[in-house]
Amino acid sequence: MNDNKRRAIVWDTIERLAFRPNPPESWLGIYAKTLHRFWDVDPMRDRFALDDNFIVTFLNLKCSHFIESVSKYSISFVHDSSDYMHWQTHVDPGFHSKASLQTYVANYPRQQMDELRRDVEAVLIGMLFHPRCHAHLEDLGVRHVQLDQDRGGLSSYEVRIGGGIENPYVFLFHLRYQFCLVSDQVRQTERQRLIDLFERSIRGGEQNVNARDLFNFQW
Amino acid sequence: MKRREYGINLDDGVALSTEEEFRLLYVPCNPDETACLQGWFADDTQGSLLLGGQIGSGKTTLFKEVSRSFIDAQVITVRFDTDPIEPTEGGFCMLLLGRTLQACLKVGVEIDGCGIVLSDFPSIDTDTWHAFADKTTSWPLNLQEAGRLRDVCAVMSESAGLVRKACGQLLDRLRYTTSREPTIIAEGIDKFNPGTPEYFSLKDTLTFLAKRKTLLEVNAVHLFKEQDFRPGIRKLFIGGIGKEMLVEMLQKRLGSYASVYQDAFPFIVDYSGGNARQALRLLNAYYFRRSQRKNDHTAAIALACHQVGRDLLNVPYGRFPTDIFDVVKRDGYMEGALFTDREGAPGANDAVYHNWLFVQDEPDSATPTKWPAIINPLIDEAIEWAAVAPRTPEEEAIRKWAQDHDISPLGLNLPVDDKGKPAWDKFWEEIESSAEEETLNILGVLEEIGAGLVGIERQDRIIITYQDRKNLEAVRDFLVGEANTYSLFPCEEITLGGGEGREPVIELLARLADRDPNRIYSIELTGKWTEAQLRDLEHRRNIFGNLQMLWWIQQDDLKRYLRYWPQLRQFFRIYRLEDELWRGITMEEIQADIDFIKDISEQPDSEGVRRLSTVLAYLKESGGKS
Repeated sequence: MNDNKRRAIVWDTIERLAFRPNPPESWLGIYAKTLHRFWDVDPMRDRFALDDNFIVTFLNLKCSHFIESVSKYSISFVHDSSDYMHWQTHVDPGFHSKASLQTYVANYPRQQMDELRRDVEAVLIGMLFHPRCHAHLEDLGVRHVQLDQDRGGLSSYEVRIGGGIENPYVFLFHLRYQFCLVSDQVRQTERQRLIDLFERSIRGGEQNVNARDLFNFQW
Repeated sequence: MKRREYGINLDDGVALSTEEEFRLLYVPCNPDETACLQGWFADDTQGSLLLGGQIGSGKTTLFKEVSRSFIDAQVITVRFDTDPIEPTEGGFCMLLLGRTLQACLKVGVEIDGCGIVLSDFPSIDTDTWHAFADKTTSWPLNLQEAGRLRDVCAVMSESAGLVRKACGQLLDRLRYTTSREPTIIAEGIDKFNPGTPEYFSLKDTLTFLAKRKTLLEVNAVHLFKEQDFRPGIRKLFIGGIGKEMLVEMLQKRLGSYASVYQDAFPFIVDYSGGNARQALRLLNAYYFRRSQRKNDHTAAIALACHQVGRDLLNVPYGRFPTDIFDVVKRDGYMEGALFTDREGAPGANDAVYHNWLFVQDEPDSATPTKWPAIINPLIDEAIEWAAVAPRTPEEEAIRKWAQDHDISPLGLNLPVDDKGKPAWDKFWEEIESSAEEETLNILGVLEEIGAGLVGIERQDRIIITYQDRKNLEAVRDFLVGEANTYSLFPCEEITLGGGEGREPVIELLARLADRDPNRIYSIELTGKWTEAQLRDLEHRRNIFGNLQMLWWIQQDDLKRYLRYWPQLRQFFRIYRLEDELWRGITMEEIQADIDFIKDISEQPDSEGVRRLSTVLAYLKESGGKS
């Protein structure tokens, strides 16, 4: 099987394992309660529901979402102080996209397991870390922010908002990573953790990745 | 305490202690004093030394930084603030003897023949000096044990001179055995305000220690009380921190995010008066306002000044030394003689001890009696002095915002009279009355204290005050239950009843003997605490340093207590509950949190589920909003 076919299977498998929570309450709850830990800021009290929002204080940005189903949702970015709308996207399953027409239900080929780690990495990069189709925050009118470079801080240019992400949970999860500007080291550590997690889960034939493991939630 | 490697590390100005904290957050603010202390530690021929600075100046952090390098040295540390069973001469002597015994026994010094025998203290039922030393230096585990230790203190009080003489004998033997001069660290003397009975009880022990190689941690006011130690004792003063160092400190606290909030640094530095803790408290309050309350820069500065002024400063009417303030404002210095002058000493002492004035530096050689000083900017900025330097447009904007919102000392703009004296009484009335308006419902409290309560990277100490007690148990259960949706935080409930014949502080020590930084300590103060009990708590401020605490105190009681707590209040933030406590909370949300914890917890009956179930039952019973 060639690289593309294997990676299509991995993409589909990762979404199925971790990004189709049913019921979604715990997934969303843990999401909200771990954002501060990943971004290395003081916690904010958060309840999180299907129709809710969170604030990225250091970017002065409010992210609101409304999830109707795993294939139907909307997301908006609003300037937190002025309520000025920067950007909004809707995903409507009533219409086709190229991705919606291509679903791989096959298993990862056992005889090519040596390729798995490389495939997981390639998929996670496209899915979460550096989406192929993306917009930078400045493109959306958000003021440029540069965190302290001496301490490894990144600039808001490193935020890439993915386009065409049809699963709301993938979208939220990729925002978590994209808004992590505190240190490139933190991003690199998270990349390796997620690659390890999904490689292990797929290799072990697991049926799902629970939210605690996905968010590294140590309770 | 675990700190964040790259991001934000805020707190209320607790001294640094761990390797990680020093690596991430330490700023060498006092290089000369650091070198001096290092030299003192290394040199056996050195005599006693007073290390003095005002509350929050960074003495403890500086001292810990230096002593880290001498960790293996033969050092006897006596913590007079936190460790004595009682703040009496007997209590101080017992602690000194216990610590000296421990040091001697460690290197095999012979104890017998030092002038005291175990049979002098029958209430401590032991036949070994090892056990005696351990018992007299540990907190009691229960009231019976405390009673036995008190009996020892009573014996020691009667023969305090003999006990100190025995300590001297033992220290001489220790020097002979180790061939080095024993180094003694006397911590926590700074917590004793001169003039209090407890300080008086400590004096003879201080005089004894001053004859040895002892480092004595004192407040700036003690530097003017040489006669309490020994004439000519060497002094090391920790003054105001320079602006660049303070900015570096703020940057380190915000980690990578410093650049986002750097516009605030010049203001925080100015309003801190060079005091490290005041700067960190201002930064903490400013960050909260910006990040969680969506206040803009101008409002956040004004509100931070208001909160910090209210939490840290307290002036009982009639004791405010207005004359000294006027002189310091005019001249920019304090005469050292003021601290010894019979008339001026109480006022000067109060002003410095309570941080109403900041002594910035030691006098220079040309004017050896003139100590450079400023009025605490949180007080000073409230006054419309006649001939001040013009303010920048930004400063004016902050003052205008504060004035328009009637909220901050910066906005009071108190006029000065014909003689140039401000209306001080009005100032304190305004501060007091503005606090009346700021009540919070339970969600508001949770927002304000959440960073410490639900986070593992910081532990805060919070006083929640209320008018009517109603059902505080449900409030506590709600706060603890919500914290448990973030991590597993067990809660220890402690009720401390004050009043004559009660022993609330001993009870507290017994309950805190097993200190757990992951636990929430919920402490309710009841009864009418006596002045002595309140002062005893005040001295022991440092035992609360790295614990997450919620204290519950009735509003009128707290007003009385705060006068006795200039030290203790430094580690606390104070919030007041409104009567409409449960506004904004629904039973559905509580149920959702219970379900969430059940979903993620492996324990069927975890702390969070139990607490929130109690809240749910309470809301149902009281017809809460659903």
